[in-house]
Amino acid sequence: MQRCLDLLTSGLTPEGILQQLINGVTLGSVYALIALGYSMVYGVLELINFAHGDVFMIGTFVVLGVTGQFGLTGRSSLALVIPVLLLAMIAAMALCAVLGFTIEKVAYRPLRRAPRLAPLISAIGVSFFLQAWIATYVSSRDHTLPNLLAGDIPLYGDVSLRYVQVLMLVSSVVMMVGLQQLVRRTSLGRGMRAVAQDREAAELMGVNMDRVISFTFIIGSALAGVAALLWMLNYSTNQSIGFIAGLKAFAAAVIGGIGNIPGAMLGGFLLGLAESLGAAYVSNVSCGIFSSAYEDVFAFAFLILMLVFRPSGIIRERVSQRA
Amino acid sequence: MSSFIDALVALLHGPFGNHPFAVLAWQVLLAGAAYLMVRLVRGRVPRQATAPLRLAGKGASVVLRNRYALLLIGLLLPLVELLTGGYLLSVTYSIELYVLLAVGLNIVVGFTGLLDLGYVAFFAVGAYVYGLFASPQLYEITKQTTYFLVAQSALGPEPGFHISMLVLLPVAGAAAALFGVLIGIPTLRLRGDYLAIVTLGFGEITRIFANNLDQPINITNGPNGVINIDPITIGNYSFGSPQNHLGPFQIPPFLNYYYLVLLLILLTVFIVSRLEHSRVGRAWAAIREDETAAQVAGINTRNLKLLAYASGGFFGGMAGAIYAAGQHLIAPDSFQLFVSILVLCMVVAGGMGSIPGAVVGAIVIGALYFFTPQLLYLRILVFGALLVLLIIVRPQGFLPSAQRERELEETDEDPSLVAPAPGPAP
Amino acid sequence: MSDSSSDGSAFLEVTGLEVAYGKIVALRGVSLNISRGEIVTLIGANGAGKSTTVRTLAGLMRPLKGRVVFDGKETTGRPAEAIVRRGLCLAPEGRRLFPRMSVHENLLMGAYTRRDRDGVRADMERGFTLFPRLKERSTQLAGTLSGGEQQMLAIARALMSRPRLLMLDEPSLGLAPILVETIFAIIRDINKQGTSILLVEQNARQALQVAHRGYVLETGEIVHTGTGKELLESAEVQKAYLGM
Ligand SMILES: Nc1ncnc2c1ncn2[C@@H]1O[C@H](COP(=O)(O)OP(=O)(O)O)[C@@H](O)[C@H]1O
Ligand SMILES: [Mg+2]
Repeated sequence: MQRCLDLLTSGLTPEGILQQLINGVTLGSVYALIALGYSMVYGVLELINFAHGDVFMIGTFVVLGVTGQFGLTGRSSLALVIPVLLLAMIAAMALCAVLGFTIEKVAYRPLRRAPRLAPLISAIGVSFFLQAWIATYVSSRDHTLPNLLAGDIPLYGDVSLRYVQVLMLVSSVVMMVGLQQLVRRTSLGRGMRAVAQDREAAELMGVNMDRVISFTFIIGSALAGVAALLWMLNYSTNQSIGFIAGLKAFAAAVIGGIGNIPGAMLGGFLLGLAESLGAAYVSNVSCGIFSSAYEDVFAFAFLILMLVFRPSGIIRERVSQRA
Repeated sequence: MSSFIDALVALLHGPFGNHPFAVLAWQVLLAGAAYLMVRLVRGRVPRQATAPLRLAGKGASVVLRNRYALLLIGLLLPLVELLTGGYLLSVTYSIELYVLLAVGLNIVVGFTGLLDLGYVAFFAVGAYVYGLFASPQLYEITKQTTYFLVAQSALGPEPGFHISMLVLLPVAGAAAALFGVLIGIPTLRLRGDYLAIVTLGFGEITRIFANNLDQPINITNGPNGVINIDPITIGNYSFGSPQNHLGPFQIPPFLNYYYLVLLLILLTVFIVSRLEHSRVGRAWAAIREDETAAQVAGINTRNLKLLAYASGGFFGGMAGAIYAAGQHLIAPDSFQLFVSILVLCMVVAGGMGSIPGAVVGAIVIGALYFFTPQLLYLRILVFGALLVLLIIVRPQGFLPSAQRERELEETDEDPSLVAPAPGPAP
Repeated sequence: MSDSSSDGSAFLEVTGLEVAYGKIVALRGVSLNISRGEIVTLIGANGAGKSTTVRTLAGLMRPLKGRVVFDGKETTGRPAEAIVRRGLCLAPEGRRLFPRMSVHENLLMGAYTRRDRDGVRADMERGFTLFPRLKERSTQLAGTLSGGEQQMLAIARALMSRPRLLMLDEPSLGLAPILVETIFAIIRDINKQGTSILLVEQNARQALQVAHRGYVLETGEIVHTGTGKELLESAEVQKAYLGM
């Protein structure tokens, strides 16, 4: 008992918690960006695009490739780092968009009217293929970027906000607001929502289903490309990163209410928080019984609880599905 | 074989060098050329030219549809393999275990329409039940208890439990069935893709626990797994011993297990097809087609869904127990999500809801997987591509159940459904 | 080929339409035609194939046999989206609004194929004068409207594509009698402004009263045809559809 108390009091400092909150929110902002891709595709096609996480993974390797070409190191000047990162982001967005478009065309479109599980199998096949492709022709090891944009903003005690984290937060929020505007205000966005709400009625309004679906994949994948850049600023990658990151992003999409853009953002933040707090404090809180080896158990348990108790997400839809 | 692999590697790699983009460019060219070829050839080749191919396909289909022909192949295959050296026997045996798993998962996914991506958990539970109670693994824990002294005196001189497979096979099945019910209860209300994610989560949680339950007390021995698991013995005949002889012929251990599993498959297929055509099976089908309607029709959907999980779990658990005995050791790494995915692919590729489909799906996908070049990632690369190709060419599966086949034939002949399908979007 | 064929040939000409759901045959050779400026009604019992007919004309289903020619051009087997662009628009059975979009957005969806912003704005105003209720509710989500309001929105939305031929599938379904009157009055109004109308109804009496001509569909076949008045007075129609 005493041991448990000690663990609690020694582990849980306000500064530590604050730092974990910051880490969690930045991690979550990346999950949120990936989550949007799942969410949009699910909204339009009712398909879990299992390969989406792998599109993100490919993005991380594009970022690695571009920054590698320019020989960025931790000591490169900002005048070099910023344009190269921008270029890396554009390249990742473009490649991911092409990839997402192609995947839909090759692996999902022929199955539009197939039995329900067929596209799922196809998605799994694509996912295997992409992972194996990277492992075979690029690398099967872990990779990180050098520590770019070093430096931080001190906040409180020894808690600080790193420049990289600021960049991650700001960019993901900007992207999400942009997407929200696109979906809300443009004709294309309205078309996407219409297809999601009633596919046949949308066709009767003159919406070209194939175009809308292609655009959905292109936009979702391009966002995964942005997420890839942000991810690489702070974390490492390998060919299988897409699976677990994708799963967590999907969880974020579900938590926020699938198809719901601000929801995906909120879900991403929540999941990021749960993950970083969980990993840091599981041992302290559970009296040393659960080590951080159980980190993923908590992530899955959280997801399961969410799905079981709030399958429509934490933000309630204002109008019921029937209507 | 190895020159074939080399050729394949070279073909996929292309002549433009090692840079990923060079390889990519080559492969895009390759895929484009292949696509053009197919487009050009399609419909232009005179029917006579493809007749042998179609005949072979028809023949294969007839054989695969005939359960006696399948059984005969199953009985003779290992003997043929033995004549050619026997090195394929372990692969054939693995595929057999997958057949068992596919038939079990087909109850959940195919009959009842519950998308389960965590089926490997049942396999793991069965394997660990046998592994823990038929090995020295639990010796360390139990030796500190007085119960152990009693148990040990009853069980003989060897440390740990060494309970017979005869007892443990049904126990493993029952444990997995119970596990299925436990997973089933919280997920009763979930449908489709959400259910897939939740079951996937349960599968992963199971594996992570197996991986970490070596602390604070050592139950599963963590990532190293349970070792020295007893082989199956009947009387004095040990399945695992290489010393068995039939006349002058030495019987390799895999052969014992192979025929045991074949027997189990027969039994399983018999039971499951009885289930399929019983009241329970019809209720499952009703739930699959329209759960709300089934409920309105007075079907107790809750109990029947739990029963589907339990039955699926039971066969998965039995397969796990046999697997543990055959391998002598089990480790959490053998129970990755990948196994669940592979089995699901078998069920879907075979044709959901059809028992022959599950069997044939397991054989075809298993063969694809186990016989693709055993080069670490190349194998997954080829397998992934083939999976996509397969499902696009035959989305309804190899042998869809009679009822679905009828529905699909209709859509094949009927252009009105090739247009946007009526009713709710698929 | 001239776009505006005012040579007296039918505006919409349907010949020998056969449609099936799997093995269930729903239409067995339906032929009908509509001239410019007409209101034509298609009546028949539940399950006769009325919806199947208009859904096929709208491009949601592909016929096994038969031809659809709209304004001199064949539309058989064209996708729905292309048919709307030609000016043949269906307000489907059950309204099929976008429940989580506002009234305003639903109307914009109706104008999805159009690029002339000013024209769209003007048409929206016209819609609002036709249905003042919708103006009051333009920011409300469609899913929260009452049944009558939803039907008005469905019609207004269909008009937003500037159809030259508007098909309405059971617009009076589930509405209170007084509202049914209003809807029929509006249909007549729309027609007066120059839009041809194909009106599918189970409410045979009122439909025949507003229509210039009518067709009676029975298990996938046209069994009677004539002017609205003729059909109203036909003994067989009276017995089967007018409850006399
Ligand atoms: N989605 C469908 N699947 C199978 N059969 C259908 C479907 N929709 C309609 N049908 C059948 O087609 C026939 C015509 O239906 P429908 O056109 O909806 O009739 P109506 O609109 O005149 O009531 C009916 O027999 C109906 O059962
Ligand atoms: Mg109807």
